[in-house]
Amino acid sequence: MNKKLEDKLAMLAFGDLSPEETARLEQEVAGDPKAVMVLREYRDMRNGLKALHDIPEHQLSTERLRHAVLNQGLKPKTRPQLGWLWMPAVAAVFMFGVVFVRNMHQQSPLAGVGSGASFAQSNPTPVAMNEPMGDPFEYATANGDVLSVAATRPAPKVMAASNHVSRHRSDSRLISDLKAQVAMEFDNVYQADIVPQPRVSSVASRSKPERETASSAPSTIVMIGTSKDANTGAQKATEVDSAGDVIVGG
Amino acid sequence: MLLSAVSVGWCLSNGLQALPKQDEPVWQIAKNSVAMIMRQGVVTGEAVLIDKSGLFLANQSAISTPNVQARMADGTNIVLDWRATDVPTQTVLLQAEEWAPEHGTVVTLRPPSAKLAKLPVLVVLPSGPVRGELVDGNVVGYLSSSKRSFPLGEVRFEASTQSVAGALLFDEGGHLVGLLNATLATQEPQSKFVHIAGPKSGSMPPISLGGGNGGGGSPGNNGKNIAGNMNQFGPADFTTGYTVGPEVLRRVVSGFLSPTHKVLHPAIGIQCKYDPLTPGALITLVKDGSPAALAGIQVGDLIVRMDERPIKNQFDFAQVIEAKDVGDSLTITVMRFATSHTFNLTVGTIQKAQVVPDPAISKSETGG
Repeated sequence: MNKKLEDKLAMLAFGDLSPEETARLEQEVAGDPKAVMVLREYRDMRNGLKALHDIPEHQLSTERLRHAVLNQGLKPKTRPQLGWLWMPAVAAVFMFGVVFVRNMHQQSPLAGVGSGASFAQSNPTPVAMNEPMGDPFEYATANGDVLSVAATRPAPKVMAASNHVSRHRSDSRLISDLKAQVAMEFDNVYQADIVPQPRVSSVASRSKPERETASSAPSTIVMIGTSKDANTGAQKATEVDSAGDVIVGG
Repeated sequence: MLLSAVSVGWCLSNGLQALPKQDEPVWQIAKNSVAMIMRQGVVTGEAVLIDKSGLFLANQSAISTPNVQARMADGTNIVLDWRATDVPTQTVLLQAEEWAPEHGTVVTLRPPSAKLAKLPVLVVLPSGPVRGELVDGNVVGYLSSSKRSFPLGEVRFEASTQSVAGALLFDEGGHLVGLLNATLATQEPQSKFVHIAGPKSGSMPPISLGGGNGGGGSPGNNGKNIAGNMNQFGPADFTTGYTVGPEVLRRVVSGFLSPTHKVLHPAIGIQCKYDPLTPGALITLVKDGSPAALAGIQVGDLIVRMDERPIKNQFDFAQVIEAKDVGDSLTITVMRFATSHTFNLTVGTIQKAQVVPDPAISKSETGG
């Protein structure tokens, strides 16, 4: 199936398309049994999520959930806890020796790899952004010349996990994995919703890693508009409590 | 002209009478670097001398025409011609006509590394200097017009004048700390703040909880809970204002003093916002031809690390960019569909942030 179409189907299932796009896409896929099946899977997944957790409708129907799925992929959040099992595991390695190791190498790459990479690779379309585009940036070097960085463009470093990509997985397997992963990621979405916004109010209440970077965190965020204050003649500044939607350029 | 001379003379000399005794030495140092800008016989703003060739720095709100009249502390009347504007910081570069070095002393900037919080400052207003305090040096200012973020310092002072835009701030050593960029909006209800109604006597003012109209129709804006510092201030209303940080100020001055008069603010050509799902800065725009675009960064990428610093939101991104100089190298790690990508790029600058006037621009009538 066309990856772009599959992406569109996901957006359709999660209610991210406009009514016009929805009608057009539904009409378009009506004659494609495979597409209809995938769409049904997505919708079942969404309905299943609703049944699993008491979640407000808007959190399921907006782009954020789909975004989380696409962003996080199908990679399991946590690895199985081995605990005390490592000792017999080591013993087992000694017992089976080279034969065991060979068998490990002959297994499918999929076997030992988080499935998130697979999903990510099979859905390369970027998450749709609704932000307004077009800001007058122009760039120059210190001496005023137009900057040319093309010659130094590096090849992106990709984490090792993403190298083990199965390109032969069926859609049904993918969907079932996605279901499981979405169920797991659901809590992440919910937790992310209550993550404090960039404004920093208390150092003491934060965890150690956060405190380590707290010295550089802003104490207050001030929005400076274009209008002037009638009383002071200066531009109006307004403190903001939540800067989550503020777009910053640089 | 006579009115102007009287007005400026009052500011530069009698203004001292309103100062606490401990601030007099600061003003004696600072005033030699200050030019009072005036129009129609009224002081409308201030400029500060940044180079012995007669280059002055001011807030653009003080300049309404390509040239303005001003007066130095030694009584010299000068004409200041507009040379350049740095849009993000709203500062302008002015050149004095027929300048002689003995007319003023070049100001020194406060070192960027020096502490800013709870710093006593001298605030030079059109009506003269008053005492203030830079209470917080760790504020992030966001300019909605340019979508650019700068480190700011928050200053509070007693304002008995109608126009405080561009007020100059000096520390106890007479070093320039900043220029007032903006003031906290006066008419917006801000219930979380404590409004301090300005008393007309020197006693402790009454404090009313609940906010409401912070300005109360007075020149100053709504004060915050600064009762503990009240005894440092006089009887008028308080104004909370913001100035760009010392690092940015130093960059502006350095750029203005360069042969091109251009200020090079670092940028890589992206816009980003907070991602509610995953800590990081979610890229919403990559400008064509920018360092970010040339390196391969795309819309939808989530910035999670810049150099060795974790990025949790868009302001972390802005802080890292602000700490860079144009031409510096920068390593950015992004998440793209659950995979990590690292890019190395060179920091560029925003050209359109700079406005340098055409030399052929016609001079307007000099005010005064």
